[in-house]
Amino acid sequence: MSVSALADQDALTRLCLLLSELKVRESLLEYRQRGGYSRTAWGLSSDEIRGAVHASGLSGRGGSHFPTGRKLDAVAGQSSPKVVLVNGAETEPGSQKDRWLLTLRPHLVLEGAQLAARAVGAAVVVLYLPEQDRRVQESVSSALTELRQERLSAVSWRIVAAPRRYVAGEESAAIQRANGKSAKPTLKPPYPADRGVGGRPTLVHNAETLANLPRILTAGPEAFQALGTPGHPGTMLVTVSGQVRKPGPLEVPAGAQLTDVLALAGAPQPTAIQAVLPGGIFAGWLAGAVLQQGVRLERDSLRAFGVSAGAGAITVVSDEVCGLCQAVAVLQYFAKESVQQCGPCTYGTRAMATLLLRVARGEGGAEDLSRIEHYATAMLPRRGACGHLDGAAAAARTTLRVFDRDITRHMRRGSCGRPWHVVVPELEEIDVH
Amino acid sequence: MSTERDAQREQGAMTLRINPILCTAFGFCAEYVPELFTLDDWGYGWVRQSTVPPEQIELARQAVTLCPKRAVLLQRSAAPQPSAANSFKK
Repeated sequence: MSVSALADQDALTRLCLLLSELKVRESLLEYRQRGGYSRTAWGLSSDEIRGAVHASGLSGRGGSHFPTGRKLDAVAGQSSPKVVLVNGAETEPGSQKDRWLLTLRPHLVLEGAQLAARAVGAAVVVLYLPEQDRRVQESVSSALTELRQERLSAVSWRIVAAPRRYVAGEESAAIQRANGKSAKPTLKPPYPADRGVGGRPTLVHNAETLANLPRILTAGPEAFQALGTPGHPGTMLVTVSGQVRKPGPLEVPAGAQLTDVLALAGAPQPTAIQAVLPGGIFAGWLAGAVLQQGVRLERDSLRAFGVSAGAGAITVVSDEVCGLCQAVAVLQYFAKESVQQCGPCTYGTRAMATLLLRVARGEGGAEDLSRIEHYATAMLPRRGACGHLDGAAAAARTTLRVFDRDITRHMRRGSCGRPWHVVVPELEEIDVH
Repeated sequence: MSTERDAQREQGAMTLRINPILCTAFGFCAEYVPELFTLDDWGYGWVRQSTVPPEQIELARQAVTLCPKRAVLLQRSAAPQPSAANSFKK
């Protein structure tokens, strides 16, 4: 399905798509007029809800792409009481899609959370929202007030503030925060489905994932599967940033061609694109040269090109700036954002950033590159309590392949001749000398 | 899921890992049980191979006992879990 075909879908299957038409928060009345809180969805039993979610093929939109139906089953099978945690922290640099959804259509997420609570038998929903974002908090609070006034609130709600740091968005960090501790990841197991908020079995889902439930349960799993690709049905929210004319969030068919999505955001011609982060900094770098080989925003397609699926945070780097500069900035961010709980993460992220900066300065040699490669492929993967270190390793590993020509020039002359300027959002500029 | 994993479980294979939050680089594991551990560039214990065959389980148990931080974990190989290991959910 092409990206433009989305515009022809009817109102029910494009519940999310309406985002681009909204300027202010959708009220509960408006949401219900567009199909929210339907008798169809709320007439389903918890088993039927889980069955429909399985049949839809919905997968986690926060980066794991884990089948949502299986996660619901894992929590439903536990003993009560249970909790649902809506993860709206969205700490990926440049990502705005969950914030966009929560600001303009909070009812879509809140109804999704209530349906998920019904599916697993939970009576409490924790809303984990970015502490620095007043608009999200106000929008969600107003929506909750409306739900209570209309007696459409079937659970008790609790808002927990997500600190603005990278790993605070990781699910075990979210649970720690909800339990009154600092938002740092824990070692798994125990998984949230076994022991989460207050020690209770907890279903953790990204806000966008839950926003899909109302439409799946109202229009049916078949309508959902008619969108996207067989391996990745539905739609997905992405945020395009970097060197594009129209940066910001978009809804596209899941599994869309990356070149189509980039064109929608006003990116340069694929031949003028040096590299892309297709899923966020933790998913790795993709060379601009492979864009026309049919890369799709789907796990298997992205994996075939050496990157992981990611969370829809797409950054474009044109050939007008130094690519290695972006790669160094990403590794420095990983080092700065390590919460220093795990030794390999504390020292490994720092070592990779230092070595790559040395190469960029023209002070490094082949032995530095092989050291980075050894760290990124052998010594560091799977050695942190969370995925932070794995994300840094993926960023470093793909850097060596995607920016190989820049690296050669920098090793010879300390420069590739292009401006040293960071275009990846939220990352700090680096002093090269 | 994987029949290979099931086979390992039946033969009593176990999984060895280090809790990286607890590990503070004493290095006893690599010093006393070099068959199963080495050290990384910063002195932290590094498991050579996470699946421990039955004949090495006794060695692995020694490492569990030796670690002053109780950071060495020896667990029965488990079935894959939702949102396992390398997922970085946001």
